[in-house]
Amino acid sequence: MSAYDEIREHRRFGPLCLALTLRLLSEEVRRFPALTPEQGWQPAELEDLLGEFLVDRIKPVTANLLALATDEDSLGKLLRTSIRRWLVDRARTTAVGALRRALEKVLSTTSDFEQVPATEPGAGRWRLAGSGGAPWGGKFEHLVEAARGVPNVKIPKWSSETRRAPVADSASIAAVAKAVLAAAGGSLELGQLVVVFLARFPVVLDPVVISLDEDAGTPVDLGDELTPEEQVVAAEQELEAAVVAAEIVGMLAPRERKIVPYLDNPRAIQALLGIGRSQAYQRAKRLKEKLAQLIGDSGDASAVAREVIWLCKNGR
Amino acid sequence: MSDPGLPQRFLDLLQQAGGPANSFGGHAGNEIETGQLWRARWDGDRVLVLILSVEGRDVIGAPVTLDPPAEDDLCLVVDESRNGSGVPATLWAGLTGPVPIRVLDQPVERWGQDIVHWAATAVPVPAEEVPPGTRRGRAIDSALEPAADVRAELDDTLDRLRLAPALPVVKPGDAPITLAALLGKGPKIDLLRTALGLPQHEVMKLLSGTRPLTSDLAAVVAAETGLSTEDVTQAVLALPPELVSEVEHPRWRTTWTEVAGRDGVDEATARLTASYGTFALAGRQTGTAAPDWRGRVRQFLNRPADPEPPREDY
Repeated sequence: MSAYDEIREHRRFGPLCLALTLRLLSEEVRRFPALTPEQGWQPAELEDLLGEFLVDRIKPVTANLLALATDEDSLGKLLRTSIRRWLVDRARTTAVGALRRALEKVLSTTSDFEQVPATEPGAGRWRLAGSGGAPWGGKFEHLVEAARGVPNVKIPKWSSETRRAPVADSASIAAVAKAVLAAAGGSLELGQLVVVFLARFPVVLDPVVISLDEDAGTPVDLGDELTPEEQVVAAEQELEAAVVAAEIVGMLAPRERKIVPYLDNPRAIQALLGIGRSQAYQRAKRLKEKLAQLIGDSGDASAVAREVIWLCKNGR
Repeated sequence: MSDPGLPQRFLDLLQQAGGPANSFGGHAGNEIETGQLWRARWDGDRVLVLILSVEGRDVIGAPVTLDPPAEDDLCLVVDESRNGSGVPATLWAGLTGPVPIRVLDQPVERWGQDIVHWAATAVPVPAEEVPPGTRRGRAIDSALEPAADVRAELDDTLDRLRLAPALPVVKPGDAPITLAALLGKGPKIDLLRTALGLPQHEVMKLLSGTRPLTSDLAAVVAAETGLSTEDVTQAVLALPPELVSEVEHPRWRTTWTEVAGRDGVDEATARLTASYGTFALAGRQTGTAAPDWRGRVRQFLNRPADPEPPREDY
């Protein structure tokens, strides 16, 4: 009997479907380095992960397979897709936790912020130090707008093989939090701040984590039409842009690096990746959004963007 | 548990989880009607489609997903009380469009007409009020959200299903073009016999259009004759629309799949061959009444096996 026969006959998962799920989960989870335990994937951890998958998804996955699978092959493909999408959600949840911790650390170690004392309304919330603000109850969009209005948000240096890039450096997190709390005119729960940050930096939830290539960040040829003084200034700017660009390229998945040079040409992306029209358009759109957030809006943003394209085009 | 490598707690968990309603996934009958949820399938592509209307050889349908829990602002999320899957189902009204009847495969269940009406009128502006047991989907705020990927994949799947091979059908005013007419006069039979490795009587059938010209054969004919593959592909005998409607109906999907497996061909070729066979059989029958194509397809499929043609190398 196959896993397909089993689910057709019993209309639920049995030992064969379960064994197949564990096998596919073990294969798929390796695509998500951010989820890898420190000691690597051991059988006990994989079983725990299987248990969590079943608790979360068994009902919709079973219904989906009963509706769409027509043989063992299609059952395997559908199940693999369900597992992969669940792992994406898991990686995103992990990222929310990381953001929450980073935010809490900045709020509690920066003198600009204070936690509302137990004796006041909204105890435990966060507000600007000395503001005495009451609990906020306004429009969420207003806070997101304030977060988006903070210029020169810096992404940190990052080159780990396995860990997610932080959303921004401490100074930038503090600046954004300050703007949001000022716009609120009162105190906010940490969870509310997290939601605003996620709306401002959706890239933090993007689960693909790939490291910087060894040879990225090569300085560019400056040309010789500038005066010596200009050359010194330009060289510093370009070098900085190149370093930032190299860090950004390091945060892109190999497939994303491939399509950077074709961002305005979904047809080329379609041909390059062998995918459909809508997916090519979606890939370009999501990568543009990701790059816009990673590059930010600093004065040298366009130089960084050019450098990112150059690095990707030349396979760095 | 039969697999000693997996703990019993998982099977206990599965027992408690429950599953879809017994009727879900195997709705009786295969007549196509508004409000039915169908599995659409071709090659590796498959998707659930809610039928909003039937128009000729297409249905107008909106895709439905059960997993993962993705949605956009043109979606209707239909809870467990209104569908038999046992979980909330997402109806993607923004992706409504034609779906060829030839890719419909299996009716899954029937949904309420209030849901059909909401979906059919959702584009460009969905009604504020939603049917009981449903809610409007949440907007996708960022292209980085997984729901944006799910939507793009669904859209591409529907595009591919629309491109599933169709049968050539007679259009009013169109004169049939046979391969014989396309090639003109000259010593064609020997040329094609050698190139295609077919006996003379099969080449004759190809020339007259009574044997289907598959894409493989068309490519060989084009290479041998200097014509374009496109021209050669068009040189087929178009079939009556009533016959095409019959053989493209999902009631025959299982048959075509079985014939394809038996003959070692793909489903499109099995259907194409049976369609020409049925048409040829009908041509030999007399009478002025409109043909009963369903009966004739059955008759063709139940015919005695063809006697082995004489081997020409004897």
